[in-house]
Amino acid sequence: MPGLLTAIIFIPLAGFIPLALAWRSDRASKLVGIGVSIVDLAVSLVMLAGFKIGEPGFQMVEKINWLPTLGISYQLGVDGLSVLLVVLTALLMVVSLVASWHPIQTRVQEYIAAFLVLETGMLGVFLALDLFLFYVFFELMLIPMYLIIGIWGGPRRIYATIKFVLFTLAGSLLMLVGIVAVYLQSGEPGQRTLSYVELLQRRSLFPVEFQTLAFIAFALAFAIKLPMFPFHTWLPDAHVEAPTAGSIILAGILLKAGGYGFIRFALPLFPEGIRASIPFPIVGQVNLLAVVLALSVVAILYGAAVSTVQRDLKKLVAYSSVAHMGFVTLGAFVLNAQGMAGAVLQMVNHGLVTGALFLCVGIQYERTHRRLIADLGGLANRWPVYTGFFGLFVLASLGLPGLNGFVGEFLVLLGTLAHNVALGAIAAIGVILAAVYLLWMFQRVMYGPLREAYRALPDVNRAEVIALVPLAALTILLGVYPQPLLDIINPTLESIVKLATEPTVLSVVAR
Amino acid sequence: MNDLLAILPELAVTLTAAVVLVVDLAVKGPGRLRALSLVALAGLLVAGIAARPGVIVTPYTAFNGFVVVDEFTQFFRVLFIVLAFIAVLAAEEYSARRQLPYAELIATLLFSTLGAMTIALSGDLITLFVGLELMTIPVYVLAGMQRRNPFSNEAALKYFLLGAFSTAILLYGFAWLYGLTGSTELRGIAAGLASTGLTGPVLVALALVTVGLSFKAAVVPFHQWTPDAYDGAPTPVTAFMSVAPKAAAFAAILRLVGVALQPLQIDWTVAFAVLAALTMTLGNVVALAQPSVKRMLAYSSIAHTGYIAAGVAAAQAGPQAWAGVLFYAFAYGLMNIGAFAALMVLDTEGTRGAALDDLRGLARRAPWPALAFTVLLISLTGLPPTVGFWAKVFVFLPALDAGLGWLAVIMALNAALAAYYYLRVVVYMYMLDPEGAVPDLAPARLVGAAVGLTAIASIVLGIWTDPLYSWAVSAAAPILR
Repeated sequence: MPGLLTAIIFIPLAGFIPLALAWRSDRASKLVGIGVSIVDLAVSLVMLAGFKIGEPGFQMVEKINWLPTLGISYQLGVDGLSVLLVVLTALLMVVSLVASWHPIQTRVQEYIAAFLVLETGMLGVFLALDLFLFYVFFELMLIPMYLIIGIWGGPRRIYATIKFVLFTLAGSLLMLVGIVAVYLQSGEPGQRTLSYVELLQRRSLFPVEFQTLAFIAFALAFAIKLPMFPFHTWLPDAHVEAPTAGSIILAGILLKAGGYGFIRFALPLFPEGIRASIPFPIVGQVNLLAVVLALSVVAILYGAAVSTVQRDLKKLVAYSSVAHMGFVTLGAFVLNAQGMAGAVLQMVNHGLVTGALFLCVGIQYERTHRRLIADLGGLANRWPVYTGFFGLFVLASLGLPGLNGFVGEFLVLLGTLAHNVALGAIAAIGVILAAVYLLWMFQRVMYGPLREAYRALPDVNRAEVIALVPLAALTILLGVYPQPLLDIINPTLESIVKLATEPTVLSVVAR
Repeated sequence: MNDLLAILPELAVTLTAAVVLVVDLAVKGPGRLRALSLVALAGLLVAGIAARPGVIVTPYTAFNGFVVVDEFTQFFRVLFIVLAFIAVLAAEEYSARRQLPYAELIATLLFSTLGAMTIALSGDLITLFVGLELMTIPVYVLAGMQRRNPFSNEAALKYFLLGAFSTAILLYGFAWLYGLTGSTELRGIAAGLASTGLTGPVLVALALVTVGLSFKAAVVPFHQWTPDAYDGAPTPVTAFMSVAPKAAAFAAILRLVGVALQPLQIDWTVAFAVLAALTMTLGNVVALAQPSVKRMLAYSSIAHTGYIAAGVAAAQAGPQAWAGVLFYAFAYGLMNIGAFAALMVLDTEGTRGAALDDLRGLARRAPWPALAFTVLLISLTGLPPTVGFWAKVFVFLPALDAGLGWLAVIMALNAALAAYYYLRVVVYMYMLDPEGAVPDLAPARLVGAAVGLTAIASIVLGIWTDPLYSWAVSAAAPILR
């Protein structure tokens, strides 16, 4: 179906028309937001149904000239890497808007508008096949999230949102310089391009030094977005201050834009750059690949260690994201099919599970208005349904076999062990630590003596159940039977691993 | 006859300014201001139509070489007409509120526009200089138009003294050029310099001309007049004077560097690159600390000068460098005039212009102007999908092509720095509630139209960028390197 991907990206923006008609009515605005996101989810499922499993390349490609003077085009396409992330985005949008039904009572219309713009940006990031187009959507995600945290967030929201924007922007502007440099390197004037598929065939024009610099420029942007240790410091602040739905989207999708960028662009386009060594003070030379792998393992252990000592529930989940994202970079950069498949599954599953965890924390906060673990306790007695959901997601997050969190981490560890046994062994400690901090947290929050003040608080309401059920169902389903996902992603990932490991033939140094 | 046809837009602007003064005498009563605005806007519209391609076959040399009409001229003509149009839109309600002499204000503004347009079509140093004077002298008057306001007087005096000083330096440089080559025509100078080569006296002339024009464009270290002049002048005037004279100064620089000084083949790269880096960094760093939005925008305009100068520095990359400069000048003009206009939705009578605290909660009190202002600020920051983003890209492109990777990186970091203070305005408008008294909203339908138009243009040109860019490319073609 031609135009399907364009439709998926721009249906949320088209939602501005009914949103404007819902003039200032909070209820109608929320209904419009949910309705539009459901329509978009349906269309993305149509795309998933039409997706041909087993083909590694891009499908449903659309191409229109955008800046013919420079040879830049509006180009979209979907492959095994992006198709799941698109559906995940559409799903989490529905979930977060449903979850906003009760908590958001001020400036509702603007809130829905911000989310709709955000959705367009996120979907565009995963579907764009032109680097400029990708960058446009990458930045389009920024301002709505800036407003979502800054307007509807907690007490320190302004500090948190400015930190979030400045961190992200510093990285992405350097990536813009990198993109322009890639454009200039892509051929003689008049034949230059930023089309991803074209660029893959022109990698021989990129000398090693160029690939190294370009990789660093791209990697910085993605490392900040993901976030990788030591660029993660914006994340806990942003998560703690963001409204629940903002946290769901931030953890579920926005971070994935970083992981997606690594796998889609940085690895296949600049494979020589990754293997290159750069001069570094004190140690002399460092290998970039080794640096990324080391930082990934550090992120896994550091994230877990810091999560263990968190007193704030939301901060704990935020730091656990740092650890989980460490698995993503680890799996992507061990450069084998298993590791990369694990990384992609980890992204999808982390999106579902951590989104759900933030939702649960938000539900609990709505009622108790407490986020400090020490202030909570004994809630399991009063909230049986909530306890069931929360427990399920906690177990999935710590990687219990049979639930979806296990599959990705397991594949990443297998891939890492194949690459380097010591590295895999250290990373495995992170899985154990996850069990420690998550179960300990669960015990302190849900069991023990119940506070008098919480005795009358109600269990989950209908809107919350509607938001939780699809996440819970997928958590179980994808844990028991992940094979369909692997069938979808594997052909594409095999080709990406091949691109990332084969040497790019270096002809002449172009400049 | 054809010569007159070649300067039809300029004639239209002149005539409009004259008609405005006559209408001021003829029409009395409550509709006077509106009548004046309509006359000015209609006149600018006519000038815009007269500036469309096809009226005259370009390139066309008129008046014995004093005037050159080519794509470059056309580009800047249209830019200046658009800027004047928006400035007139934004000025009426403000002038009524502050009882400024409105007819004089727009007539003076139109004369200044005429001067800027004259610079764009100059084929001769004399025309260039006359255009420069015709552009700046009215702006001195405009800056001081609020006679009883000491800050306005300060602005006018500072601008006048430093402007006159820099004009003298520039003129002295022109005299040296004439003395060395025996010609004031740009192509004649080029021919003369081709035979003399780069001698000591030529260097002196170059230095004087560069310093003179750097003053006009507010390149660091010749920028000191800018903040006080921009801050003290009445806001509609600030809006205009922060964009048109700057664009005109760069038009003059390109004409001189690209045509008259072309045979010298001097490598400007390092000198201009260092100046550009200093200019953008200083402008941004100082803008960070400004509690007044008007003053912040003034300093940030220095930073934008730096970005444009980076395009000039990248001259080695060929025509696309000039195209980047032209595109940036156009984009900057639109978004900056809109941003200053947005400040006029607040009635800040008796203060020095909107402070950050005055903007608290604006998004609830005036949702549409706040939204438009936000779009303009995002565009000034350089985020997609706005025209400001492409402006930055089109400067990155030649900068990297000319091997100025370090400059591109400094630009990128500066843009992140700028994001802090631009988006801080959004924080005040959207995320903070009013504390204490905030200024009343001014009646601002025309101002709103100006802000809205520039905001919509920022987005439309940010998505549908190719026409403007390919026009900038063809406009850059007549300027050789």
